[in-house]
Amino acid sequence: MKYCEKCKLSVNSPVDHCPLCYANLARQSGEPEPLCYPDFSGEAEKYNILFRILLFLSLTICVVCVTINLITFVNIWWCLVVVGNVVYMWAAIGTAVRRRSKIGYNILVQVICLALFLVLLDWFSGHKNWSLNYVVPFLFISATLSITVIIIVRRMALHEFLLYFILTAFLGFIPIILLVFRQVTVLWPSLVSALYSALSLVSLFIFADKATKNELKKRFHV
Amino acid sequence: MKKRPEKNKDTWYKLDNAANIYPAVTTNKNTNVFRLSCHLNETVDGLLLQDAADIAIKSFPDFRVVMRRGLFWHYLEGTQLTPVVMPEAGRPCARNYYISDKCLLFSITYFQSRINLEVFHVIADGTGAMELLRAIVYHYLVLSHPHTPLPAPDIAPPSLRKEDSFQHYYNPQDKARPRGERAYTLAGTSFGYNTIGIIEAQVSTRDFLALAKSKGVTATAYIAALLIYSIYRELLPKRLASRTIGAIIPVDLRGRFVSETTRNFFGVANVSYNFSRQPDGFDDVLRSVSEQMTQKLRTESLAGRFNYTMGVQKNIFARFTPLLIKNFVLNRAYQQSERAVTCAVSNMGRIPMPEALAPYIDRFCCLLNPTPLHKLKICVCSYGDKFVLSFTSNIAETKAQKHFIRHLTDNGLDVCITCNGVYDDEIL
Repeated sequence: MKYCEKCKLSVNSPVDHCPLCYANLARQSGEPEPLCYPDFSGEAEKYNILFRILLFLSLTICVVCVTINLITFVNIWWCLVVVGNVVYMWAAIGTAVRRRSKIGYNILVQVICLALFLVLLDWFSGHKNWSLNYVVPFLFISATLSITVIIIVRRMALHEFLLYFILTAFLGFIPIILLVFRQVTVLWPSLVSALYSALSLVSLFIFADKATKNELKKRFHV
Repeated sequence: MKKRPEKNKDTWYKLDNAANIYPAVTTNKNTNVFRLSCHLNETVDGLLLQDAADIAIKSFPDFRVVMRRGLFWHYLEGTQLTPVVMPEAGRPCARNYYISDKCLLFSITYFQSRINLEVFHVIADGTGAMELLRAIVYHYLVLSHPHTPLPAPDIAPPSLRKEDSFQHYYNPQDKARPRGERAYTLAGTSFGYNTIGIIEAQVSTRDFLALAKSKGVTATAYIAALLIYSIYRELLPKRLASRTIGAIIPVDLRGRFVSETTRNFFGVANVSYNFSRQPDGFDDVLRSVSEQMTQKLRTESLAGRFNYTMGVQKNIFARFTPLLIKNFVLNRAYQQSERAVTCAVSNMGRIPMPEALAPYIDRFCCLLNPTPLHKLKICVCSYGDKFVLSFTSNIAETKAQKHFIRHLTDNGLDVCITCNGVYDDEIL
């Protein structure tokens, strides 16, 4: 036990100074003070150099491209493609690294990012609408298909992937909705996508076991 | 015992009203983890503690959950995981939950003669988690003293412990929206996210209660008023002198509404004092804080506040908002509400344990995690004649603690303090 003359209190920790006033402590009794907490002040926050270099490079590329585009402007905002590409890369790789154990979540995010990026690319390269007409519907089909394959391969995994299965299946209806709003001009890919999604959802309700139904309740409770 | 694989997975429940906020706002700094510890009169044996934890957790099935994400809300799902007892290492109240690894939301550690239970606020509040700690301590003592018959502490039946009491006592007719002006936020030299400063002051329960009684106020009011006054005297800068200093005081609702749940069931009362508008003597602060508490601790005021948050939770638009957006909005609202006070004062009260266990237990203490906006917190609890005030802080300045504790010694109390090593560091 030690004693602080200034604060008039005893200190029962192996410290040399009073934690309150930093005065030197006087020894009061013979036995040594027990350590109260393990030392944990050593661990420092991690400094991720690779992350910072990549971030800085991305920023430099964007700034340089925007500047060149502005100086030599001839009717095309091509720098937006570059910026879009960088943003896409960060979003896609970022989730892939941070949530590498979550396959379903990753498929969903990758598909959404890729679709948005392709639409952007399409618009700034002449707006021929190839992205929404053909690529995006098949992208959504492949996403739902790949989750279906995972569920079949890893038997009994239906309830694990349920949320992402349903969300990707719903994505498949987007092209046909855009068709109604005249953003999509070719019917058959959108129709195939919508049909595939509808059948996937129907199959879910036919093949669902009790665990899946329970999972459905948990995941979608409001 | 026969194993029942995957059985637990079918049990799941929604987060209670208070718990909903925590997953949205938890970061490495604002961990929303609190620690309850019990100091024994003997050195803790890790293997025995593991056995004790295994026995104790059997009657607390609601702690054996992992948190999952749904489309609209988080939820808790039963799991087969059992707690693994570890020697204490690292910072107290460290973040113990990441949504991607399905792990238990509490941990049991030990250090020398101390047993620690650290709990993520989503599954239980202080009073609820204390039930588990008491059970662990009891089973540990039974195992380490096999020849002495020891009476078990009273615990509530498991079916009552998992009740969502907010749901039970929700009354949509009686809502009161909390209001508050922005309070002073402490500033100082930060420790960084994986260190916190801990100072525990131990006084005699009888003496402390007598001191509070001599002023005609409750112990909690005395502590809150003294902390507010200490911050004003030592830390409030002149240029911010017009700012209010406020303290948030969590209140256990089990005493007011009949409930034996271990899940969250607490309300909060904010008390504040503005030294530029009101007289700045300690007795004035004490009187004002005590009056505010009497008024805010009325059952109707506490109910009005949780009825309001329940109303928000039950709003049809809120319910169908995807979790991602909900988290963002909750985070904003939380920051706003945190700014209304400066510090936190929590009183766990007297920890009930059977008389026969008294020779083996030295004291209980509780730690709260300081956050970027509430940089200084006090949690107090008493066991026998040991009244422990634990200050946790993430800034190096200890002026407020010094003023607080010197006030106690000046009033003739015998204070014994223990602290962790961070304050002794020459660099700071």
